[in-house]
Amino acid sequence: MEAERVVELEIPSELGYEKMAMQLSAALAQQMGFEPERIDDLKTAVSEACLNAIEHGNQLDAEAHVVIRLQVDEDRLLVDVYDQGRGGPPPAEFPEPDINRKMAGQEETRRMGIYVIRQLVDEAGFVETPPDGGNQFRIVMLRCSGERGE
Amino acid sequence: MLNKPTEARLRRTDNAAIIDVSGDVTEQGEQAIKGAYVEALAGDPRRVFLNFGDTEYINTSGIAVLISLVMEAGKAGRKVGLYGMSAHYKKVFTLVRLPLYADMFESEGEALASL
Repeated sequence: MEAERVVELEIPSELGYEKMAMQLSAALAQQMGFEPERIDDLKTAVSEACLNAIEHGNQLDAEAHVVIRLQVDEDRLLVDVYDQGRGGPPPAEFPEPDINRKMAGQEETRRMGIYVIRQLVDEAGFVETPPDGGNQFRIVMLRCSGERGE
Repeated sequence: MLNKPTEARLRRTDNAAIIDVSGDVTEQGEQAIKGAYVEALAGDPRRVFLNFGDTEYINTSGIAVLISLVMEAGKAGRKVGLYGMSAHYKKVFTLVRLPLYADMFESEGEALASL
């Protein structure tokens, strides 16, 4: 049995720093033996989760940090992205983006990140946190894609 | 700043305009991409293509820029073509259903052959 390993990264809430989290998660996923295609999926998911934390959770306040905690288990990689919740709690629902409505100007062209993340990884979503505890978004990638539970 | 600034360079063929996009495709690249698109239209090409062959990072705010550009093109009766992106970003573009409004091609040759 492989021992659990945890790696943490703290980044400022500035656009571009999400790339550090992408690189770190990719390195761990590669070490765990994930296929290149799944590593690309993970990198995009981690990037989008960090962008969400930077832009919405921390309102682009560079003094507010985003923490990325990666936990390697025997059968999965967990990535938790924490922000300071300055943008308030996340919405209860994340509807699928509708390109037809976007093209008609009836829906914002943005707001696709959480949907994309959920399509690319095995599990993803906000974890309940205490009031004023900030937000925690969790991404789960199973080692064996055959176990993917959608 | 870890983002690579978006560059969008315009070149032309007989009847098409090609915008070679390099650097990161993010919200910050909006001015570069849309500026090149406006410049491309000045030559009244049959089609404008965006080539992402030198792009390594595209996020959803960058995709929103592309959606906005495709939307503007559509209002003028034009359809933009996209090629050069990695298999991963083709998948992401497909997830958000961008191909409903912009054609995706495997290569520049295939893109130009569509004219």
